[in-house]
Amino acid sequence: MQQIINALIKNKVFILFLALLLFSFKFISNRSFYHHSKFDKIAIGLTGGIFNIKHSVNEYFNLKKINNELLIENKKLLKREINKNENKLFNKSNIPFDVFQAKVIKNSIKSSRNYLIVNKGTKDSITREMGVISSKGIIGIIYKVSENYSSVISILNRDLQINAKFKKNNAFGSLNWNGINTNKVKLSDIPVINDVKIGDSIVTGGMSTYFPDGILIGVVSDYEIDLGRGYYEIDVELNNIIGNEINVFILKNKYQAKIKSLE
Amino acid sequence: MLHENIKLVKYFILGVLLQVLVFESWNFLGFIDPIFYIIFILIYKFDGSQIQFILLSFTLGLVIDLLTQNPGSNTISCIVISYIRPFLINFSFGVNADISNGMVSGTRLANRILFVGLMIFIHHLVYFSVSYFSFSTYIDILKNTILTGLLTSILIAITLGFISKR
Repeated sequence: MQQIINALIKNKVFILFLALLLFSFKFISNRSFYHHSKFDKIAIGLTGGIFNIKHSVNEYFNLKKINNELLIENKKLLKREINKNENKLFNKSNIPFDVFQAKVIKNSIKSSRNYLIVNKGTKDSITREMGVISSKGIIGIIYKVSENYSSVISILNRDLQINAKFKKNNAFGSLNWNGINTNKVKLSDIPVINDVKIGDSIVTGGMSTYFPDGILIGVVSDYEIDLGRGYYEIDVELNNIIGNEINVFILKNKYQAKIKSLE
Repeated sequence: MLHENIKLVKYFILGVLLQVLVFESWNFLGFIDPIFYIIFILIYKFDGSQIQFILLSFTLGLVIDLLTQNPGSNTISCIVISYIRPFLINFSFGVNADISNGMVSGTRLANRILFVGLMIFIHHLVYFSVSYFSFSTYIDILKNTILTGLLTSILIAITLGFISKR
């Protein structure tokens, strides 16, 4: 103990220098958006590298589970492939999406604004504002991109709002998380003239450029009517467990820039 | 001792006021704003407490940043320069490094010029590196460092010429 204190006293100038330097970096990052995003980029690169190692160890032990998931997904894809030709005429939502496969290497569900980090970045032609889904449901939207990694705003983030609708009658509203329960989100702005039952499926609305129409999000677990406003407040139980997701797909809308320029 | 401290406060306030009111909006040749407040860091006594000196330089940079709406480059460059100053003093003045106010009297001109030049160059290099904060703009960083450094050096040389004794 005495030696530690002696070492601290001996290097007190250097420690003071480091502390003030850290404070100034914090100061500059608070005052300038440019420096803030630069620091963020470096931080994503660093945490990405560390969690990549952790991830590769975990991955080895999860191989069996992943294998099973892949089998189920293959089955689903095969089914879709077979049914594709029959439905061609009636398929209204044919906005073409490119699909990139990626792996989650860091995932937080503990804060009220959660982020994920995936192991694809600008090198794999990932850009901002791409939708991210898994085989069971939606995950979020790409937020920041560095060369090898990107951060994803999780659906479990209070700042994210997603366009969603009822599968049965296309009544649409907006979906966001209230920050309490990690497997429930809130669907609001559904007018009371619609009929709502517990167990109804909620899917993506296709009115945003992030996600295609009709990806399953979850089912209605509870609802109440806000009489003052004439809208339902609906609790949706997510189909996927965000904290357990490993394999995700990043969706790139080829016409996003064109659609954005019209808005 | 008291006399010394009053003199330091004088240079601190003078540096801040001249920097904020005059030199920050000078725009010599359109883009060169000399960094004059560094005179305080140059003139501070060589054998003073290093901790006190770093804290004073930090305050100086912070005040300048707050008054000129700069995000924080002045603070960082002031801290860096005040931390490495003892090494530069030893390097430039050699055996004379223990003379208390060596910038005013008792040292040779060549040593002073080396010291001031090194201090100004490193300060400006850190300042512009933090301002641009990107490797791809190194040409701009070097250009600004050298041109602004030259103008600062001339101003500092004139000021020091008035206050120093042979």
